[in-house]
Amino acid sequence: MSRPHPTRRRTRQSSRGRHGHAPRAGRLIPRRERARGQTTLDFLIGISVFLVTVGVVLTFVPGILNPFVGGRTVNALTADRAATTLATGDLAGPEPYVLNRSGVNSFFDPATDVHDRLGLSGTVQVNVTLTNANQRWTSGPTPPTDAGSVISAWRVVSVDGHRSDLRVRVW
Amino acid sequence: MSVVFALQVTAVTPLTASTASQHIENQERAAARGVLATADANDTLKAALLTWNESARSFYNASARGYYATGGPPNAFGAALNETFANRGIAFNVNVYYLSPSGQRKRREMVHLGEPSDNAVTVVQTVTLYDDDHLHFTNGTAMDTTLSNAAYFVPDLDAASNVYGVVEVEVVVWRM
Repeated sequence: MSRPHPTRRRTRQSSRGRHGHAPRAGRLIPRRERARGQTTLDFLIGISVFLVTVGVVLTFVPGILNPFVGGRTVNALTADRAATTLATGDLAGPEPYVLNRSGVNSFFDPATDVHDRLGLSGTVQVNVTLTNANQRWTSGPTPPTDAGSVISAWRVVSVDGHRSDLRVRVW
Repeated sequence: MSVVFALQVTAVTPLTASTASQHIENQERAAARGVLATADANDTLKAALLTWNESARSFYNASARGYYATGGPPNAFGAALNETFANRGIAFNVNVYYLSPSGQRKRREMVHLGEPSDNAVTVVQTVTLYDDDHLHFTNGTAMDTTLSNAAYFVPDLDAASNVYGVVEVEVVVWRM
């Protein structure tokens, strides 16, 4: 028993290290084990920062890119439904998208209540415009110039054989 | 570095299909449906199908590959397509589907402006062709040749009946 038991010796060294003699204790720990211990801690910090950043980006990017916030989703649906109603039913003759001239004239008559014809609630404003190369019909107030708040739905229709654009703007 | 990685994983580009572009896709689909429905109603769709150059075995003034590659065909249907889509920065392909004598569904491209993106929308309109429909010159006037004695790309599936065939005209629309 001239030389000390390896396990016992290491225990003594490390306990001394805990009392503030780290440099001497470190020197006695084999080189391989020292290197392994340091890598684990660095890897832990690195991968934590990495995962947290990935998580933050994945959480916030869809929110940043989502253009329909709050009531605007409803407006998009309203505009789409109103345009479909007009182009395929209310103004159309027997065939969808082929508009009936008398129906167009009666809808764009100033006396017509657009909200009532389209079944819209009183909280939204609506402007309906029908244009072709020769003529332009419009009803409802002029939309605000702030383009971000107006949802527009667009249909291609035919009036008297002329290709026309039907636009419904809701805000 | 991890921000770059995460952005690459999500791969958000202006052409990515997402709920954000749903409203625009709905509008494009409805517009394409309107163009096809109106062209069918005033017979310009059928006239565009019948502007067939028998000697070249392609549509009139089409590119060497057999389709129009710079926009709609040079007739009323093409003008409606250009006015509706090309002037708004929206690209479109027009394909014609028909049945071969063996019953296979075949495709002929009428307009090919490129490969559609992920958020392309498709609208189909069926057109019935009759034996006594006349081929058309590119300016829209009818030739004397009728389908029953023309060298047309759609075969006559039933020579006994007056119906020549039914073709599907498909318009594929996407934002450039």
